[in-house]
Amino acid sequence: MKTWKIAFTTVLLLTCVFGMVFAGGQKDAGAAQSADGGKKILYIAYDRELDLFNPFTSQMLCDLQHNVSEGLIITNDKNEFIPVLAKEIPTFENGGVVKNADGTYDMTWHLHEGVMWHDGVEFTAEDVQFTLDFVHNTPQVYNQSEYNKIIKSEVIDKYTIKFTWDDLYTFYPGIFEAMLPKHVLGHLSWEEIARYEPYNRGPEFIGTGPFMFKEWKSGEYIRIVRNPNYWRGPQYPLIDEMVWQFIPDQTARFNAMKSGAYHIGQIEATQVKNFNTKGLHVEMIPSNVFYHIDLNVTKEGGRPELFSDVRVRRALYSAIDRKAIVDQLLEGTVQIANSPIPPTSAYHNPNIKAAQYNPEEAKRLLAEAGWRDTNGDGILDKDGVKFSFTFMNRSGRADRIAIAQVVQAQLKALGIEVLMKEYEAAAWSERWRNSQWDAQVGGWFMSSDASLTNYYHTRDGKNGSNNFTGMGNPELDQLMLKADKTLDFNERKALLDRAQQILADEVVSMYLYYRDSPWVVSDSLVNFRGSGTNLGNWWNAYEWDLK
Amino acid sequence: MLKYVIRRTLQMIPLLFAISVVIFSIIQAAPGGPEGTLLDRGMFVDPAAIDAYRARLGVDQPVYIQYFKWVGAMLTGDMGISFQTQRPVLMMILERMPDTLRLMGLSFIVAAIIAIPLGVFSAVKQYSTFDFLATGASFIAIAMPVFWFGLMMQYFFSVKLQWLPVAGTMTVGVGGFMDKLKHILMPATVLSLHSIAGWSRYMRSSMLGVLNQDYIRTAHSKGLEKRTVISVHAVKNASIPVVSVMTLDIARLFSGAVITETIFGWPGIGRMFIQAMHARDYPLLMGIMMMGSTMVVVFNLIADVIYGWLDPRISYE
Repeated sequence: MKTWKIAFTTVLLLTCVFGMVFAGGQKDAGAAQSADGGKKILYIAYDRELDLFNPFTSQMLCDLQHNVSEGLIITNDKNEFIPVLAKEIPTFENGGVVKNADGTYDMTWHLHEGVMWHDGVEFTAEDVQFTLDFVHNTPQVYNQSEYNKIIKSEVIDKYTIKFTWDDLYTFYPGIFEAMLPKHVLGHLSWEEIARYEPYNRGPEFIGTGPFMFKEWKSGEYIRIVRNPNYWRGPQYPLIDEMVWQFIPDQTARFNAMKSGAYHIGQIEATQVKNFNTKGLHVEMIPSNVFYHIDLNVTKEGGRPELFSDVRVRRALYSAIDRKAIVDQLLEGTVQIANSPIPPTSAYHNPNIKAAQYNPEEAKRLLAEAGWRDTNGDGILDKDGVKFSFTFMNRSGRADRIAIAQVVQAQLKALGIEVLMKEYEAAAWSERWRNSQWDAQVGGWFMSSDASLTNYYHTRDGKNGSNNFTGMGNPELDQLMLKADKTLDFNERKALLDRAQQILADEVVSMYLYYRDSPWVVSDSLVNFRGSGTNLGNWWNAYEWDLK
Repeated sequence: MLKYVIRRTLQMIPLLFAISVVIFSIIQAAPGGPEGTLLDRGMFVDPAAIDAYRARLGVDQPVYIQYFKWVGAMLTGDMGISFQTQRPVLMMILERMPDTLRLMGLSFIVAAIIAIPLGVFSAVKQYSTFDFLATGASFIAIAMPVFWFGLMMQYFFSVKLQWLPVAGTMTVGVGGFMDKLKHILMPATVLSLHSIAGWSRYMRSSMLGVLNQDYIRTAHSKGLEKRTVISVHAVKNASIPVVSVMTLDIARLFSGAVITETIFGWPGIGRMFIQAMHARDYPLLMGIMMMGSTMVVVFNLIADVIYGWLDPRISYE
């Protein structure tokens, strides 16, 4: 009796264990067919899970999407815009851009012919028009304001569309990085499209790209598979399938890459030294991200009594040992910056005269500005005000907080007290937008057109939409606005060179370094040419191969 | 008994309302809002666009209005739409449920199978080498941070030995029982270790209490075999408090394991909760937390009922 009971319980428990391991197995459908035939499957250790596919309403950085949904353009590894579904990028030279009598500009895009959506319907200029209409009517598109400068559009024929811009802008070839299929979404209202589950999550997420959506297992992975009818020719793409496994934890992702089970994945700068797994290598991909410290010179929320004197700002910059930051925190994997435009851009100015590390010069400048330690407490003061300010740190941004800590130690040596205060993302952005902070460490994307206006133009309601430092220099404002409307490279380069020098002289933003992103890449992956722009590394995935 | 259950069930309703008010207030009291995710795109957004975004999600309204809207929808069975994904919250939770229960359930069962005998042996052989080892190991297991243990397991079994995969529930394109077993092994071990340590301590102390009772001495003096005394008379009585502790722990199965799931890329509720928290995805947060709270309240009732059923000395009349 007792033996029977024990046996029964054991069997029951084992059944449970067995069942639990095996449960949820209905998704195995693809297993049998892909196990045979030697399919080329690329495994990606991805640092996040997407919120949704629609590249226009997603609140995250989009890269996966562009394997499926192509746009008129994309950015390559040289930080250039290259045409994808468009035959070429319209310019004055090729006659694609024409100035009208009323000061507006007509821009004509010619599309490739015979490009098919994944469901076999032909891609036409109507789809471009539909995409533009969607963006115009959907406020949550993060760069809607750029599209809003297209005041009129006209479908000339199946493969030609003409946009009329209210003025000339350098970002014009950098939008329309994805396309929405009119024949799939056209019957819905704009608000319905934003919430349309079949497109946002999968089965109806179609594009013209080299890969087609296959499966999204919530919380675990996304699978995309080869498009056999890709428009670049039947030989493309060369790999059969991509599996994007979500591994958000940094250390776990590092372990995942070291385990050799994945072909590609991003790691941290501090992990580079310890990565030496056979069959894989680390590629440092220069990104468009520049790290910098902002000082708040606004009268309302900032610290004008400390920072309004340019000598003080220059002293702070001279007191910060950027090389030490780069060596200590990033193991020397990145380049020191003197300007916001990274060397990946053709507009980078390598000849800027900026304050370099020189503590003696810093002391001299501070004394000249009247800052002395009169009460012997080890902290400089002037007119009864202590030289003490606070870094506004954003929770979870360990890289930036570490920089703030190093700077804190470096400035202490000069008798400057630096405090730290941490805010979570949303509270942080609230304070940032209201200029309620003293100083902050930022890591921002420089767009491929290298426009500086949003960051540094005097905030006047129209320009300088992210200038919360109080930076306002009339000469700089003019240069930046002029640069935004100048398409000739040499002319524009001269303007931006001068603008970068003014930024270095003003020292409201102290540039630290340009980030290189370390990516672990399998030796067997061919044709990987990483791109540091916000459109990601997958711009040429159609010609990737696994050897 | 039936009356008692009905009364307790009815009491749950105001309790859950009170819980929902508290959770809603705490979530809303946290600084910032869902627009914070806009900044994570690494771009800068026009403040007007942020205001439009807030208005669209309805978070620009006073908190009490948001709450009444939420409760109203909840009463009709509508848990709302997630801010991030634009999908129904209920669907998102149900989607994650099978994998959550699979991992949590497996570690629960494994832990139960190991913890109870471990506690019994420790008590019977009190102060023996085995008891000291088990006690020491339990304290280490309780004290060890889950994330550290998980990462170390990954380092040894995935990186060094290459036996087990780092993340996911299965190898895409392979599947099969062995493949799934390999994937669940490490996270389940990490999770069960904690429970084993806790439960075996309960079992041990409860068992020690019982072993000193008069009826155990009586059983011994009647000439019963030691084995029989322990397995029939002692274990049965000693397991009553442990069973109720374990029943309460069942409620936790539905909420998943935040850290373990994040480290092992496991698609469970815990990870979704963390994502929702970072994004200030209020409807999804409310959905997950209310589900968790409901489970705790329900399993409290179940634990009480089981307790009364196991131990006739307790009466609910």
